[in-house]
Amino acid sequence: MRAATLRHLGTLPVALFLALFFAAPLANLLAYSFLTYKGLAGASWPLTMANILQALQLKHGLTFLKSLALSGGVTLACFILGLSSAFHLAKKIPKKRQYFFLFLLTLPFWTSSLSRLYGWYFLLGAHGPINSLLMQVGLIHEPLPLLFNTGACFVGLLYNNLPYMILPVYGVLSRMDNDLLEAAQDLFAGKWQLWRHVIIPLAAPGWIAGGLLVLIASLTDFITIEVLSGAKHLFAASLIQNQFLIVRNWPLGSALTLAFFLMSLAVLGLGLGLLSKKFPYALRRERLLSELGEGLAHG
Amino acid sequence: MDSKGPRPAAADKIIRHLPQVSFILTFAFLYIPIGAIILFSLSDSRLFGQWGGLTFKWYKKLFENVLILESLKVSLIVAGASALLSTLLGTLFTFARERLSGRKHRSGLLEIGLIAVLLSPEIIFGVSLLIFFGFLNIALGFTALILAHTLTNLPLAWLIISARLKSIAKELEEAAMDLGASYSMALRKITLPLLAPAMLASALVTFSYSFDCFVVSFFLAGPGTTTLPLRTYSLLRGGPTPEINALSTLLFVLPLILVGTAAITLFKPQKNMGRAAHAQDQAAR
Repeated sequence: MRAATLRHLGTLPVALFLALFFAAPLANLLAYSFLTYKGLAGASWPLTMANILQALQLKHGLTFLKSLALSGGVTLACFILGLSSAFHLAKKIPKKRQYFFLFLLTLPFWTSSLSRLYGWYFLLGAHGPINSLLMQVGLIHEPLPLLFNTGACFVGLLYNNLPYMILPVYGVLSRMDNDLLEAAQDLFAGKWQLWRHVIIPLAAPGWIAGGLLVLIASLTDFITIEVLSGAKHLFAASLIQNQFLIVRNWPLGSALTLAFFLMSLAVLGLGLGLLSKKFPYALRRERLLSELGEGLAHG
Repeated sequence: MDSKGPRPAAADKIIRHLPQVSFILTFAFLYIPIGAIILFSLSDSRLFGQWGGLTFKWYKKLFENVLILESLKVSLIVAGASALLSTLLGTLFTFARERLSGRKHRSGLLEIGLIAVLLSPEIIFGVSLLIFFGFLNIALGFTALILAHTLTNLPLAWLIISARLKSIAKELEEAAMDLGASYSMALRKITLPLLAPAMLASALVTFSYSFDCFVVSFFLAGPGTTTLPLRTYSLLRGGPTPEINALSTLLFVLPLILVGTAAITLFKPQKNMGRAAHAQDQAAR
């Protein structure tokens, strides 16, 4: 009998916490999308679809699509850079030194994310080292507009998410049998064929898991975009936070959040559906989850 | 086989060298911004085109900045409280699950909830807790921040502590009780000391995580409770300065020290984990 009460003593606080501060607020968020906006962050009773309709307006749709395009581009860049870097790390670097490089890879992520973001804000600014150096040497006479645009956001997102791609892919590739590569080369495969028919398909659990991580992370990373685009609300996540903190139209903000995440889920589902046709074995739930877990555990 | 015939030599050359070039580019890319900030935090110049001579004056200036010191206090309080709370809750939870739960009690629902918290984007917490606290009329500020940070810290604390508790053999406590100890004495003298390094590591990691947390604090900070990352953000909107470089370098180094310490305490060889546990460990390998 005492064991039972002790057990509840242990699990109850966490259960309460999760219910009270995770589940309930989410349900509340859902509910708010259907309430009427009352000004000054208020909401009142008549349940309405007005917010949902407003959230589905074309201008919001375009912002969502832009976010999707940006995140998609970052994911593609991570795929190319990450897959090749992971391959080099897994196959061309002696085992003992691999751990060192893995450590170097994850090191920045244990430091302040804002500091790293500021690093780019600093580097790319009109008075930052790049522009100052170029102007001093005389190559340019006016600072290059490296900051406050989509390109800067792209670089920032790429910077944050590259390790999320490299780690799972490295995990898969380091366990890949080298004999497979040799066999393909014995059969006269050129480099491109080696990649297209052997390496990429075999590494699929890794880059699919990594791609999911990168896509979700870059879609929801609002602070990088906020800082590097100069708070111009070019993309979805900062549009959402604008509604909550500045305009303070919480019902609309909730509806936008809902719309955005549903759209993201739809795209993800579509992408996974298409991929599962090409790589059916890679998308088996256990495989995907284990790769995701390894990627997160390292990072 | 590919029916297009032999690939042009140039394309093949690119593919051959791509992995190595990507590898070098990746690591350079990762460390250039960090290196730049550290470099220019030590340069005696407000211009960033050239080196101005070694100086620590920007760091000194930081410690004279009242606003920054105030935010430091806020961050320390929030991070400290949420680290303690999450470690405590995580320990209680792990204990209940690992030691007191039989097979029929393991529904795994709470574990799924914790993983969901771990995987959810921070903006979800920021937004949902903002309107939830508003709905309940809980003022934004210390309470809101500490509660929110404890929530986001919980999965980390749970993972760290349960990883360690799982490797401490249950037989150790049973052996102690066979030798006459009560259950609580067995816990106090055997299990807790063995678990202590993991609890310390959990406190350090969650402290570091909460200290650095930006998004959740962005939504839930009230007047007078600006955390250090938020203060940094408002400072940097005025453009980059050497002071912010110095601040960023410090914010860069501090979590490293904390997490490094945590890693060392966790991975120090345990001399007295008990032969039973050791045997279990060896068998598991």
